[in-house]
Amino acid sequence: MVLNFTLLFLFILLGVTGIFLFNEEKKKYHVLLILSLLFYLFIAKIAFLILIVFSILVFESGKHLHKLPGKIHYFVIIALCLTPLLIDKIYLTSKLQTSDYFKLIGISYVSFNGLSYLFDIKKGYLKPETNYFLLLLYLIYLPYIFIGPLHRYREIAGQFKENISLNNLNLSNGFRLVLWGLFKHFVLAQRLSITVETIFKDTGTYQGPYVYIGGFAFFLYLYCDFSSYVDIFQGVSQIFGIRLKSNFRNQVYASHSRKHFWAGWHVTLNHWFRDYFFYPLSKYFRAKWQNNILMVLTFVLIGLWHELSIKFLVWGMLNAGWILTENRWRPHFAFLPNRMRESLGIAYHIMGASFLAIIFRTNDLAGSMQALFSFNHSAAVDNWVIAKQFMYIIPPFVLMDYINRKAGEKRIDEYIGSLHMPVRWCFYLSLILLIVTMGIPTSSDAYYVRF
Amino acid sequence: MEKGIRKSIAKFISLAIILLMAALIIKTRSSSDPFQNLLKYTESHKKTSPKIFFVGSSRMRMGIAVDQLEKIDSVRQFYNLGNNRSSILYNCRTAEKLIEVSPKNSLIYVELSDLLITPPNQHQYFYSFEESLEILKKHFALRFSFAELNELILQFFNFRLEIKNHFSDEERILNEIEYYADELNFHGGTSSIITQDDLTSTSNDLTIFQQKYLVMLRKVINRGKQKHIKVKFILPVTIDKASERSQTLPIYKNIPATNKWIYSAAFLEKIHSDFFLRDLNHLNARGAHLHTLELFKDIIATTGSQF
Repeated sequence: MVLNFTLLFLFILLGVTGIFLFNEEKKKYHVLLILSLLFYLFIAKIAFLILIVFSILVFESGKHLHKLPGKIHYFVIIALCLTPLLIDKIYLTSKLQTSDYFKLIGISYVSFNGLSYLFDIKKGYLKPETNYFLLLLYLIYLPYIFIGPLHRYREIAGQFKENISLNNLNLSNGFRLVLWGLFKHFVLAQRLSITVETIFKDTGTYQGPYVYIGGFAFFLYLYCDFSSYVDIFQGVSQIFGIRLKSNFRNQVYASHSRKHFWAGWHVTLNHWFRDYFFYPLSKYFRAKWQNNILMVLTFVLIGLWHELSIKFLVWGMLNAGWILTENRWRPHFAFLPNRMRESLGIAYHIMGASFLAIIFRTNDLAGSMQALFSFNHSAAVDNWVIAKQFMYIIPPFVLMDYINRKAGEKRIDEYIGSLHMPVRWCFYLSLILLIVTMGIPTSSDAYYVRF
Repeated sequence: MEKGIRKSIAKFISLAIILLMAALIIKTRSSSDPFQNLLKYTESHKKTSPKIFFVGSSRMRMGIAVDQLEKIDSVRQFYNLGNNRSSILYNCRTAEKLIEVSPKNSLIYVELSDLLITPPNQHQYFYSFEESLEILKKHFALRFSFAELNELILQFFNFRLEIKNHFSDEERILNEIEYYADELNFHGGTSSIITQDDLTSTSNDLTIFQQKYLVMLRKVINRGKQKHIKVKFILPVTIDKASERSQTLPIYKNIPATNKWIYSAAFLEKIHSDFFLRDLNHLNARGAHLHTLELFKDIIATTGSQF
């Protein structure tokens, strides 16, 4: 296991103590840098060196980017920056990662943050950083190195220099997010994970509609798991005064179309591909059909960012195909009243998303498709294993959905902060009670850590 | 430090203390000698004194059909003390306690399960709080990792099982420490079942950690010898986790042949089908039947040679 909550709380404890003891206002980021380096070294072991070499490459390249004699040098630098990520995706994931002394964790996020720094300098949006340690902290900042969100340098460097401080609001908001994340993780994600594992590990028994239910459970699991870790890390960072970007729209699982879904799912990754791939190339793809091809390419790349495999290639293409089809057919449903269109849209999206979730989760694409479209009655289970799990899941899920709906566009910590004190405390105590009485007390890595 | 922060920190610490106190009160609740109570229960349940014990996790619990053994052999008494989520340190501690209270010539089969720090589900019937702390100390002497400490903390602050137990009657809870036949049939492959090839291809070399582990098992064997009680180790026939496989198989190979149940090649070949599985880690009732019949041969061989 890469991430664990004991280490994370140790990080908070040391961070708070360090910031409290360190007097120089503008250099408080040194505390977070040292802690991030130490914790990453502890987790990644030898792979830590790759990250240091990468950071030096990005720092030096950034300084000399405008003085490069030709485009070829620029592309060589970009290729060099992508090398650790590509090697990891092609080779290391299956080979070296099994070693206890080499765990190249978070390389996708480090590489994409590093690349966005260089792209922004090239475009003239950013001046090269002269302080290596600040750039190193940007690349290795512990609260976002494992599962994101991705950040642009200009959004975060200023916060490292100016915002690090301990104050009541930061502390309260930070712990609110941590508590909310723990609730989503232990009460919902871990329980959904049991359902998903039961179905996907026994493809001989759980066929036909069960596979579909597995896909639906995985769709919900992925949201609860990924967003819970993001909430926890956002909370940890907020305690120190650093506000991380949100990666999900509240209630993204209740999207009414695929386009609506992608506008609120893994937002920072999508914006990265939009800003550094889709927009720069769209000037060469002006016709509508060309633009559509570019969109397919973008989604294929998003798919392959997860894993270089046929499965994710198919997944990316299906996502693009779905949005293109939706764009084409949307006008035909304009006659429906807005409310009805949205409600039907949610049901329709969940059905499609559950199917795509099967592709995302499966380790055997052909086998899962075969299981989905066949149903062996003699092997079918006549027990309540799955139904029982959903009986446990539904009440806390309804609570989460209610809070998400109430929060609207606000971040959860801000919404909770806006409640009256008695309500707020009832809410805290309810969450704690739910965690200790309904939570599954095992911790597993966030699903997205593998990417 | 501004006053607001002090207030926030104070609130946070108060909450943490309340939670800690609640966990301590709930988790340390046990009778004066829970293990004696368990034995009394098993004796009254079977009406005669115990003789052959099976100590292990849910794999042991679901893999050895004691009712079947009792049908085959009405002379000996069989006790399945499989406890869900139990692991080797806890199994060894139970075996040590059984050695202390069992009559001479008893036989104790101990499952060679993974080394986990978290206590088994119904631990309150096996160990007092002090004993649990002893086991934890022993565990950290063998191995320390933050991931395990994390697991322990998470379980300490989770009261799901205690609440469930609170609303169940004692007999129902104790039924969880008995053979459990599950008719479910898994159809997802046989990757977790041990093969003859797994046993032969495993290296005999042990890491420092595995050597320590083996020393601990030898101590249990020797303690049994002093009391004329035979201790034999069982390698689970299903091991789903790769880390458990790589950790356990070399240790199993290094245990003296007289102190382990050695699977025959024919048995391993026969059981290599998901027809016998409940899930990747457990046998179903059919698997338990086959497994028990094979084990009975070993019981005869062992008790025949020993008594």
